[in-house]
Amino acid sequence: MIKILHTSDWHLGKSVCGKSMIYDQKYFLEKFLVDIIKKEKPNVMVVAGDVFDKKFAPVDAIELFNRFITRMYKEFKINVVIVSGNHDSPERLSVASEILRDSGVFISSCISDLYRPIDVKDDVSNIKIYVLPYFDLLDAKVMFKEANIKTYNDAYKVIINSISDKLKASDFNVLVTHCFVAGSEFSDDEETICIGGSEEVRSSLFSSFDYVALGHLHTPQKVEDNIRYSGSPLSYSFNDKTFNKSITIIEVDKNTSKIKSIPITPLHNFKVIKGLFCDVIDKAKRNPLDDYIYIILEDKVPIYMPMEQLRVYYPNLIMLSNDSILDVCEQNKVIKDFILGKESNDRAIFEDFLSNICGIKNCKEDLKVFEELNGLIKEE
Amino acid sequence: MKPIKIKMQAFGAYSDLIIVDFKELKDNYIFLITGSTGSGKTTILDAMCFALYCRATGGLRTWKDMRNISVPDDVETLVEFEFELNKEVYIFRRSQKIHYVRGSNRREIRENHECFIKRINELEVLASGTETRVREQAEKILGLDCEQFSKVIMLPQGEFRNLLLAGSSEKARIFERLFLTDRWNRYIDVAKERVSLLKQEIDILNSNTELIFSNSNVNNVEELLDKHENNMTQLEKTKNDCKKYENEFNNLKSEFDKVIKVNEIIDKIKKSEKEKEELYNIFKISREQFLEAQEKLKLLPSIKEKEKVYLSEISELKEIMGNFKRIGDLQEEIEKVLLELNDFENKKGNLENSLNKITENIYKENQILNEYSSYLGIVNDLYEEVEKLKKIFSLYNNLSEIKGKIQENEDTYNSVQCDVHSKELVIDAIESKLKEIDGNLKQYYISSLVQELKENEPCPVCGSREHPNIFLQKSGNNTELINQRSALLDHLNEERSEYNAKLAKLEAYQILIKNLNEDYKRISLEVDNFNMPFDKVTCRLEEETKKLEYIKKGINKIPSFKEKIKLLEEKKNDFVININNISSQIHLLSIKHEKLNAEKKIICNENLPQNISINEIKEKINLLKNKLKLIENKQEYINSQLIESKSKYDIAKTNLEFVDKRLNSEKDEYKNILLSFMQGNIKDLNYYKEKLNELKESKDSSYKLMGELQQKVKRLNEDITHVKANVKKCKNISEKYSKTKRVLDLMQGKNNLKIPIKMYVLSVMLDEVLSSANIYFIDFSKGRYAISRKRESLNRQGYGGLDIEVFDAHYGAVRRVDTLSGGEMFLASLSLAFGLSDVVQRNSGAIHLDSIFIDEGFGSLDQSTIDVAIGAINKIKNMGRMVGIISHVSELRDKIMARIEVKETDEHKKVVSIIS
Repeated sequence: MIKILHTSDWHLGKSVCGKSMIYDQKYFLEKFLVDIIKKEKPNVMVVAGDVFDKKFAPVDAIELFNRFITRMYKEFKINVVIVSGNHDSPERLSVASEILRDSGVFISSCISDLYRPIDVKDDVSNIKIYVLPYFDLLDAKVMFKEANIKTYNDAYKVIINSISDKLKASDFNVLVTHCFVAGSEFSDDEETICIGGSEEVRSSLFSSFDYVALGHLHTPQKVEDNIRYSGSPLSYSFNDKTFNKSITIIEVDKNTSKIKSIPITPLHNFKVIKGLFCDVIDKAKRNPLDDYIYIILEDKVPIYMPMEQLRVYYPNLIMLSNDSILDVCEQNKVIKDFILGKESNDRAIFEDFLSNICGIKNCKEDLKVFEELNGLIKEE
Repeated sequence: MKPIKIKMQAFGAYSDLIIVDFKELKDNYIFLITGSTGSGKTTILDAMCFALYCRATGGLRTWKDMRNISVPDDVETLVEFEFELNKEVYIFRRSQKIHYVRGSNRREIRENHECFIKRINELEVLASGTETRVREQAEKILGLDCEQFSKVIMLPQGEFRNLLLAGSSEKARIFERLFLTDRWNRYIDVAKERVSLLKQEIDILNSNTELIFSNSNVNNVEELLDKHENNMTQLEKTKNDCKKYENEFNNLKSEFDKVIKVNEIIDKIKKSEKEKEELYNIFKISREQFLEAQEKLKLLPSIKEKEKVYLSEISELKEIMGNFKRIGDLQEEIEKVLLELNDFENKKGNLENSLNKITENIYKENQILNEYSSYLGIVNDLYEEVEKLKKIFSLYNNLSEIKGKIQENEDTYNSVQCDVHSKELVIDAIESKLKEIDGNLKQYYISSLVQELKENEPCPVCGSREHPNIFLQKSGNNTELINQRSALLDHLNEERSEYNAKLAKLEAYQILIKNLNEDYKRISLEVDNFNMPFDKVTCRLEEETKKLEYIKKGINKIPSFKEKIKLLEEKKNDFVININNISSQIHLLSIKHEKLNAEKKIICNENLPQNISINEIKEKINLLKNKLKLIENKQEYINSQLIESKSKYDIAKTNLEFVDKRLNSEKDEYKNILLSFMQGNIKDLNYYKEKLNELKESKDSSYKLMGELQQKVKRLNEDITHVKANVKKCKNISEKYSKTKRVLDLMQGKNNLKIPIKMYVLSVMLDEVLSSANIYFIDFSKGRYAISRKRESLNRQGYGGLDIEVFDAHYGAVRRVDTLSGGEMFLASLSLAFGLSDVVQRNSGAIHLDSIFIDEGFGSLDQSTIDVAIGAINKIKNMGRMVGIISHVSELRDKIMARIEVKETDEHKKVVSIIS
């Protein structure tokens, strides 16, 4: 039996609301994941993209990654298959990738890597892992000049067709890729792969694979039984559909598979608390937490230093907002429709000015004088 | 507004023609305009603004600043912008060309400004000509002027940051320009003018009133009224004096007139008496003349009797003269008739001659016609004869033709036959040669075979073991022989095929000759049947043909002859009729001639005196007439004398009576006037004159005084009216003045809150902008921040209330804007820009300018803020706006797929390429 550990979207180096997540990520990789690996003993780990959060990743993130990969090789001797995602810099991620292949670390950063699948075998199973990193549509158009590629779906279709004849039914074919598959749920912290472009890929294109390890969406979910997003190991947004994260284990035995999810216990949870300040602080006093908290106050009046007050009980309070912030700000705001627009009513403006600023109401004499002035201006 | 295409040449950083086609971006709502510093990124935005408003972004730079200085003078500066707005496509184009005037070589700049709307197959001109006209069209279409466009569509980030941090007075100035609130300044100016005008009017009225008082030497209205009353009293008194003087003067005047009249009458009477005497003398003379005329009237009867006698004599003589005249007339008529008779006789003779000629012609024509008619009988037979001869002639021709053909074919047949024979010989030769070669080959094969034979071994051909010719030597070269053989075979085949062809040809000729011979025989038999030699046939045919031609011509002429005869017959009939008419005329004239002769005879015999001529009679008549005339004159004279004298007498009498009557009336009048004077003393004329003068002087002075008083009173009346009117008007104007001043003061800020109306409007506008901006800012800051307007009192210049502060939900309090971090400031200024854009667009009549361009601002941001900014821009994309970002930040390059890249080639030429 061969075990594949599927994870993705680590986003090493990410900050949420200004708070660096490096410690949580370090906890995940060096504690949680290592424990899982010790327990489950997977043969291969696939990381389906977005290893780092930025192309120019911070130093501590790179160091964390370096340590982890080294440990995978030296201590656990498991193969690691990594594809670059839209957040990664493919060139930087794949430094020395050719040398690393010999050490069982396969880092894929270009389309042509698809044609060098990774073999993982045992006596009964023969797994072929195909890797397709995130790519620029232009690269696909250049590579397949004759094909009419306009969208990511067109590109995937052409690329997968190019290897379809190499897929053997006797093998357990796995595809590791980083894209947005139609029908999946996403949250707003998952940056669209291309700003202004169309990115959906139909799941039917993957029908010839036995398992598709997807990356990009942070919510763990299955598109189909054999097409899955492992999801990010940590929550990176308070808008996530769920704060429950997991990794996926695929057990392959004689070319049949069994899939299971292992929930992740993060260093800190993400929580959203909503309510009036007085209620929130009471709750905090009763139950202080060190989770990452986002508090939405519903008070209509400004609260003095709510952040400072609440941080006493929620030291990791990283975001606070007030639903009624607009009302708070616009208490004295005056919206006058008749002031706006080219067809604004000068008489109404003047009348309102008299009423609100001068304290004069219903003075016909003043309005009459104003009308005369208006008439003089119009004559001009 | 959705940009479609920009064209630039010699504009800004671009020297060559550059076309930026936004359609190549396809469905990409967000795109990046990228390139190195100074490459010309912002110039693309400048081009849009310049095409619309003839000013670059911000409204500061003009043609001079935008023309690329590296291009030669003959290159035109061109900028064209095509965009879509509200489903209509517009094109704005401006160009500038440098032109050197011929002769003077003066440098002239020619500009071209135009804008179009695209219809289905054509461009419709909206405006052209001056830059202002096209700019006005842009303002009309977009609803924004240059400054607004620069602020609303092109978002220069640095400026919005400055706007965020600017003080109230600066903000007021910017918003005034953007939201066109200048009109409130205008209200205040107009109110000020009005107040000033009203004040002036009040002053003028007051000064007029003062002037009136000073002119009248009074100090107030009461004094003026008193003065008026005094003058009225004085006027009454003067009027009475005038009346009194007038009466006295009139009475004295009438007496004076009477005296004058008496003297006049006396003169008249003297004159009338003198006239009467003269008229009486005239009357006496006319009476005597009248009596004389009456005496002469008695001679008239005797004169009348003489007249009667003369008249009867004249009538007798006239009658005799008439008869003479009648005879003359008759003679003339007789001579006329005789002339006519001769004429008719001549005519009749001519017609009879013509008639005879025509009859002769008719006879001749009939003869010819008969001859031609006789031809009709023989023409058919002649025609058949000619046909028969023609046929025989053609048969003879056929015979000779066939004979010629036969001869020709026989010659050909003979030559072909010769060819056939020669071919046979050639074939025989070839066949014999072939036989020879075959023999040689055979020999070769035999010799070859023999070589293979071995003693006591069977022959492969016959199997015999005995080989008699075993020592036969191999001869010849089989290859050469084979080649020769095959060549000969080919040649033989060729010759044989030619031979066969010629044989076939020979047979065909044979058959042809046979057929021709048969035809010849047949035709010869046919010709023999006619039994006519060829030369006879030829001769006869010619004769008969000529005869036939002649007859045909004659027959063709028959209708024309018939026609001619018909015409001649008609003519003949006409002549006959004319001759008959003339004969009857001659008869009538003869009868007339006889009648005239008879009448003449009667007159000569009965009515004429014998011894007197017509001239003598005429002389007598003239003499009698003269006598008659004398008598008449005398009668007339007598009558006229009588009438004249009578009228003179009557006139004289009437005049005398008239003058007499007049004299009597004048005398009566004199008596009456004397009577009237008898009642009083008639004084001397001089007395009356002196007295009258005195009275006149007194009267005139009174009247003068009265006139002066009347003028005074009138003036005073007018003054009183004016003063009253001025007071009333002054009161009304003062009311208006106070009301207008009050409104002016309120608008200027002299109110409870000390806020002028302009600032009030601006603060409302700003609230709206901030409200709109907060939609973005709250989202960008994840609910932490919101911007609002600071409530504060005004500064000395009256500006205040436009400062902005930030509410921080984390602290529950407001902060100054400049306390925000760089990234937060960027988000705030971006939000403000979007908010301002939204509000200005709403103000512009809801024109959807759903494109926005952000010019730089990302360069100074850190990584996390760039992420936030990109997330913000993504959200804007989701609002349906097209966003163009100018930036050189590489992070953006990686995140934004669609790009407009500005590069410089190795030849230092700018190139714009679009990647989508």
